[in-house]
Amino acid sequence: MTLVLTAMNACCLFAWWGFNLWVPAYLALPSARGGIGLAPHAMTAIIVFMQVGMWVGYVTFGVVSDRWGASARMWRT
Amino acid sequence: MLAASLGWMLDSFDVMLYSLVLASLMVELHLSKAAAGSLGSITLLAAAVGGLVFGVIADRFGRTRALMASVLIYAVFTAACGLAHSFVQLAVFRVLLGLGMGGEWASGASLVSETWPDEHRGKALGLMQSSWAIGYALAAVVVALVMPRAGWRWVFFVGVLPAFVTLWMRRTVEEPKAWREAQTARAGGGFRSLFRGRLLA
Repeated sequence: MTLVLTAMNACCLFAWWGFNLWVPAYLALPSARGGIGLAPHAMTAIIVFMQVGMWVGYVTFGVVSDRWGASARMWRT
Repeated sequence: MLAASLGWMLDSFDVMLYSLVLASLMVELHLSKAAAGSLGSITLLAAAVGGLVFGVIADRFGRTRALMASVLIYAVFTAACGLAHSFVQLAVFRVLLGLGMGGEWASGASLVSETWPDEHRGKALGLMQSSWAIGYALAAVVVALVMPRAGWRWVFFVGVLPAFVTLWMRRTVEEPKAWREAQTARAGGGFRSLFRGRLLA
């Protein structure tokens, strides 16, 4: 069980960090360098909006975990 | 709870500053995408090592002390990133920052786990981890305010501010009861205790 959960977390974190490391750069870089060239304020607005969703997810699934158990939270996530 | 949440939030704040200034950093330090990505990877590898090392430190010297040390490390080396002029310098500072970042994850989680009852632990850990999102959003706001005026180096210099939180932690945050009891049990037991008292009866 520990190995399965470790592997699951590793895959999850691989995706999370891969995505979050590059999203700001992708939004800010000009199109000639592979980005979409947003202004800093527009990039900030998108990042902040994403974090609102992330915050809600963290708090909600903490409550789900206490109510229905950690495994239920895992499958819903 | 507040100390661990602050540690988590400021950890996210400092770590994500790199992603947020990456576009400017790549231009100024002439970094390729592979080099920029590898800096992210080595930070995370260092965080894994930091988690292991600070896990041991947290068991031996206490959760709060380990938390304070890790916050101090990632705050100082985030500011140091602002002084980097080459890939190698930046890599060294990111590795050292990563050690503190991993340490904060280990010590913050154990601090919260030991101070909250079983039935509320999921909520408590969820709430603590939710500060990661707040820190990331805060970092994005700081980048929007500081970078157009002062450049990416000053964005990293702002990252030293979490170091001041350790002053508050030192004054107000106590070690969890579970850890104190474990320390007392360890002091009372162990190999040396075999030789205490009357050896011959």
